[in-house]
Amino acid sequence: MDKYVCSICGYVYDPEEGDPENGIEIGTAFVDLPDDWVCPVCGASKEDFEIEE
Amino acid sequence: MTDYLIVGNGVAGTTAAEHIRKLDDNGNIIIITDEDFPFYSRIRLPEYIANEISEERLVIKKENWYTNLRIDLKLNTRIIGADAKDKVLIADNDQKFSYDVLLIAAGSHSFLPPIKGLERKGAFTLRNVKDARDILAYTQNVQEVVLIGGGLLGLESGNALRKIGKTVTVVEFFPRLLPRQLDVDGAKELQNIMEKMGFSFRLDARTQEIIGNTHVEGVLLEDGDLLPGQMVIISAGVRPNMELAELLGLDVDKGIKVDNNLKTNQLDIFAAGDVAEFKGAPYGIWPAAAEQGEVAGVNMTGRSTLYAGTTMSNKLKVVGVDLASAGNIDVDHQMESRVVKEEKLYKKIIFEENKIVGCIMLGDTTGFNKVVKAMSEQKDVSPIKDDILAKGFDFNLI
Ligand SMILES: Cc1cc2nc3c(=O)[nH]c(=O)nc-3n(C[C@H](O)[C@H](O)[C@H](O)COP(=O)(O)OP(=O)(O)OC[C@H]3O[C@@H](n4cnc5c(N)ncnc54)[C@H](O)[C@@H]3O)c2cc1C
Repeated sequence: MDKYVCSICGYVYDPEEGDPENGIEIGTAFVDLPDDWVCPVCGASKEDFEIEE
Repeated sequence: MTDYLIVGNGVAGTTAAEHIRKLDDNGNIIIITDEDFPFYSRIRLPEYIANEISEERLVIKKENWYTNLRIDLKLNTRIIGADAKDKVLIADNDQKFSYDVLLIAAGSHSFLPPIKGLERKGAFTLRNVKDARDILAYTQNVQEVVLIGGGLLGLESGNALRKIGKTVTVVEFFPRLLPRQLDVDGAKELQNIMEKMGFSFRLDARTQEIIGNTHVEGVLLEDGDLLPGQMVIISAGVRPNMELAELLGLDVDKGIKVDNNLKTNQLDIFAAGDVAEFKGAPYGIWPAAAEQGEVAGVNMTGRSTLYAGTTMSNKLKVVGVDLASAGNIDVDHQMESRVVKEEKLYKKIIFEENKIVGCIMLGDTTGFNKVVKAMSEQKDVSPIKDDILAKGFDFNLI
């Protein structure tokens, strides 16, 4: 599954880690994150993320 | 058991607290802030002003985060006194906080240039959620807004107000927009794009006075022109909050001076984020504050990790305008660079000894993160120098 990087602060969303602190289970693909999920480091919205190959 | 005390609950202070807790399960961690809000995104304040998100959506760390990590967040508490010898800080509500290790992560405030009429109702700056609330509440009776300062923050707040139907004029004393992020050609292209969106610009212009009776009615320029406006927002840059450093007798210049451990010149006192000056200047950007907060937090627990600096990068967050720049943008075209200039597109990559040292991407920011990464890692990019700006270039090749 693809990792995504926040273009504002550089945080990387890794599906293998999820974001348990904000209710996102391990194994959740980036595209399956809820629309109101935000970057846990800077609060940027999903649109501010880019795929990291 | 160690008493950790952090002044400021922005990204620097919050990140530090998180890392302290990872390494020290027992220590007491207190974060103090004069704001009435837990850790939130300043970056999204313009979206809040544009009525696109609610106040709650600004919050990055909710109350349960603090509870879970046993971090004691003191809201509405402003530090106004200090005794470095006894290691105590004093708050405006007379509370005393003693510490073994202290982190100053007090951030910065909006700089106010000496302009006449700043005291009139309707003149604002934007730094925190209270400013944003005040601006939003005042917009009702406003049709025209004058923005003083054509930097990133000025353009983003201007755009927020444009979205809610206001007419926006930006006054900038430099002859071009985003003087710190763009060269002449890039700035011209950006201006074209934003004028089509409805912005008006007055470049190379100085503000003489904000006029009106009790309330703002317009802005008088030095050349005699009068720009009508019922609201003025001043975004003339930021300055570090240094009161605490002075109270504690810390070494300061443009900010609180720190070494690569994020230590100040005094034992057991660290500084991080907008307030800290590393190698000659404070950064004033979120990613730098986050990285410094992490290093400071780790070192406050007695370990040692080094901060190597952050690559300076900025993105303009205006929907419809893709713009990002990083590093040395070679304003005078003195350096080796590659440039692409087309309708609504301007890209420039700056090289030094086969390494990328700066870039401007306007109209298409694909690959920006990879370019910034290559800059940070000081990669030799000689094989792809001539291809990097070609259409469809695969940035994975960097
Ligand atoms: C509208 C806006 C948009 C921005 N957009 C971007 C962007 O897109 N990208 C980017 O990289 N950066 C952006 N920035 C800059 C970024 O927000 C800052 O670099 C970052 O917030 C710095 O974090 P910090 O933790 O150092 O300080 P701050 O976030 O300023 O936090 C410091 C806190 O300490 C408190 N404090 C200060 N003194 C005291 C005291 N004596 N007692 C108690 N509390 C005190 C302050 O009230 C504040 O809450 C933006 C800033 C603004 C205002």
